[in-house]
Amino acid sequence: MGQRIVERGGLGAGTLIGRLALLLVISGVIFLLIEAAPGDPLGQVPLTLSPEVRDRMRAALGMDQPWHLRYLLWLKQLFWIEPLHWLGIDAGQRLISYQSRAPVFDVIAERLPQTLWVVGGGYLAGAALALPMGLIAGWRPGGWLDRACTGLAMLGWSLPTFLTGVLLVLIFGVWLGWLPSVYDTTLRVQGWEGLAQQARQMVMPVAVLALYNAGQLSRVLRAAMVQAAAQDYIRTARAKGMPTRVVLWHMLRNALLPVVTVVALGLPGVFGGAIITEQVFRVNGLGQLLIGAVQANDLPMVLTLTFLFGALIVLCNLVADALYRWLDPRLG
Amino acid sequence: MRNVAMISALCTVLAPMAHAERGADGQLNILYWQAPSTLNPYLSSGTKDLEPSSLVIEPLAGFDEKGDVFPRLAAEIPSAENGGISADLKTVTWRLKPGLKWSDGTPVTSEDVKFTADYCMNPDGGCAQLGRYEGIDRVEAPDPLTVVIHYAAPRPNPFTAFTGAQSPILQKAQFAGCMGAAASTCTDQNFRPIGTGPFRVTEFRTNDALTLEANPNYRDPAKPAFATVTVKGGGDAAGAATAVLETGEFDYAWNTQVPPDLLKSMEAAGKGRVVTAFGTLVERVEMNLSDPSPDLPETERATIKHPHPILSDERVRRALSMALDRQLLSDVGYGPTGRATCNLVPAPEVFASDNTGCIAQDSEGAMALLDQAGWVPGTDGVREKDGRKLHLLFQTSANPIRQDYQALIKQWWQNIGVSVELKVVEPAVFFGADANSPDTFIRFNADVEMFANNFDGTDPEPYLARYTCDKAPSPDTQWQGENINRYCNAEFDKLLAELGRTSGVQARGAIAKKLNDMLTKDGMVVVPLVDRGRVSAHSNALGGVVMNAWDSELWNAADWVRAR
Repeated sequence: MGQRIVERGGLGAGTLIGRLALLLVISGVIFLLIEAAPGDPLGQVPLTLSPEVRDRMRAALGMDQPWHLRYLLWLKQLFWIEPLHWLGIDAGQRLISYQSRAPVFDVIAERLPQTLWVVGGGYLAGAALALPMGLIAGWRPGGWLDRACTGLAMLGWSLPTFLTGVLLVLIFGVWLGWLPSVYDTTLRVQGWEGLAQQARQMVMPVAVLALYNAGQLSRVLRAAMVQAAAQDYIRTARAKGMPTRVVLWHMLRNALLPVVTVVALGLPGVFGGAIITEQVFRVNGLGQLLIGAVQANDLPMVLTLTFLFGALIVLCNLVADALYRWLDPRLG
Repeated sequence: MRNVAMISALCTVLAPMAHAERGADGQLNILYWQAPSTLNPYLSSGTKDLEPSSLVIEPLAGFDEKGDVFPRLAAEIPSAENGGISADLKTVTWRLKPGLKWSDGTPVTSEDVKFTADYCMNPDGGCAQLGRYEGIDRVEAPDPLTVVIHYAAPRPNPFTAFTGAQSPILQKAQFAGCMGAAASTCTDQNFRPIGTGPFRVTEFRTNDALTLEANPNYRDPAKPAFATVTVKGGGDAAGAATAVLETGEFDYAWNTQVPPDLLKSMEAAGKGRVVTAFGTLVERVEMNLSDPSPDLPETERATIKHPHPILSDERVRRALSMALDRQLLSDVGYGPTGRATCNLVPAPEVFASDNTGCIAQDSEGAMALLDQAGWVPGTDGVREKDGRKLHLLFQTSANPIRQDYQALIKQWWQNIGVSVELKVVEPAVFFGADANSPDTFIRFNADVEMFANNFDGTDPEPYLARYTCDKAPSPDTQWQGENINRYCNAEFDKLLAELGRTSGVQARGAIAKKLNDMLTKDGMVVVPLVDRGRVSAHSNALGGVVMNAWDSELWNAADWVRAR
């Protein structure tokens, strides 16, 4: 697959403009999809409110405008008012969430730290676990180490996070009482004590995500290692009696190509948050923000978040392409 | 030795009663699994928003656990006796307690109260609590401690404006720039309102967490006992119950509505207890009196033009009600937090009809009644009349308990020869008001539907007023209107108008009971099932919790203490 991405063309200005146009199309499609979906941002308002009051609330949110005007306004807010705001220039009404009436980007900025700590931590820990697992398993396929690693990987990959998460809470939170089951987002990490507290509350959610991510990554690496081991140059190297360390390095360099694809394309997922794990431990990161916004039909928030995720995916594709060239000079 | 033991025993008894000083009890942890989105109740009407905000901003008066009005910022409750309510019921005069201060140290004046009404009644603000200020012509502040409300018409129940957690007083100095269309831009004000309550905001993270500290200017110098409070959100009801009852990480969890047996086993861990209070929330089946047939043109479907071919007969509606075992429904769905009911208005006592005739299930009687109405069993066991099958479409929102109820009710109705088709709609769609969606509970494109509703405060007049002829939804009203049954009874409308002219709780109660009976036991238009209580949990280490169904659950948080 990576091969194809690269063959499609270089990373010139044309590609960039094409990708920007793609982003615009993405935003339009997302907007129309949400517009077409049933649901009402005031659906969660208690029934005790009279229809007239609902109408007024709707008008105050600008929801009585026709859809194309709302889309244009959103584009203007996203690409003009928000960038200017970050430069310190007030160019008009910022993007406002229907739920909280707070600026969408302020809320996203507030959620980013815990998402990066926990979901990013889970991703890194998963990768760190997957590398040795994949290497060991791929070095001698069929051996007992391979079978143990494969078993562990399958377990991590197939156990849903809502099961492992709740299980960990039950064992370490309820029975043993060692770890907090609720993530405190208001914690200020100051000094060693704060850091220790932060580490303690990260252990369970990060472990859940690491197990899941490691399962997938180690399988990819193992498969690539097995494939590399069958190559002629590796057989020659082994036949010549090269040290294991060197042979492994030759194999790894080639085997890493598909792993880089998976890691780079999985990165946007880190920002997308981990909806279920965040819910179980009340991490309240970007995943919980998105799901909450979807449930509340908070259109500006859903639209902006999904657009940002789309943009990240496009960006990470570009990064994956660049990494490829660096890892495999033949593709340059 | 014995003396020492006795003294120490005495100390243990007296310790929790000893008067604590402000902030002496440290940190309080509260869990609202649906996290607050904003602390300005005028921009949101969710309990998850207005209850946490009640720790910070306060109304002139609140409702206690019995539903009685008691003064908060007001010196006393206006009445005809003390001259607070005029003889023509059109003028209400409130007097503030002298010497009140905002948490920033500035004095609270009647100008703030007047401003609050103007803020909510501004036509461009989209105020969610506008209903509480309905009928107000103008608000005056003749002197710093006096507020006079002039109503356009007699107002028999004036305890909506400035009463209860839904209409707290905002500080004029803080919100002056937030009137009308500017309301949405005031994020800082909406997230950190300056108040008179026991606590003030230190940090607000929308839909995530709120931290508070004791208000140094709170009117009772000995309160609150807690120095700091965290209100955390996220997760679900079961997780919230676990955090209080099993891990003990939190002192209080709001709305721990989980299956009754699960809640019981959690409580058995001995770390905390479950508290409930019954208000007016009633789970009910509503009957459609108009024909929802998809064969009708879209502009005539489910409108009063076409009466329902089956349910227009009161005997059929009654038979459907008789076939239900409400006690079982209550036990299965809510356990100790539910009560079988036949009333649309189950409380307060003075408004609740002594209507219990529906509690006992009577399938035999139901079948006899259907026979009498001309619906006789066909070859497949389903009753029919004039070639039409007794077939009903039964819709509700997606919710585990409601789906259990649907299955049970379907079974009971099948037992008396009624064929039932079930339909489940996503809550955001079902309760939404999207006029173009055919699946809202207002459009009612089904024969019967089930949901829960309640009323604000303690007076049911606006609640009963939903069932007047002119409130039936139709294409002419863009499918808006609260009379979803399309019920139309001139007698009901007349009696309701009489309620609007009647003052005095006893007299109002008598009329309200009659109206309730017309809709329920006499008319069988609304078939109430279960009176649902509020349920929350608090740890054994938290004292002073008094559950309240009439106002914010956190209404007396100033009195909460660390139990030792």
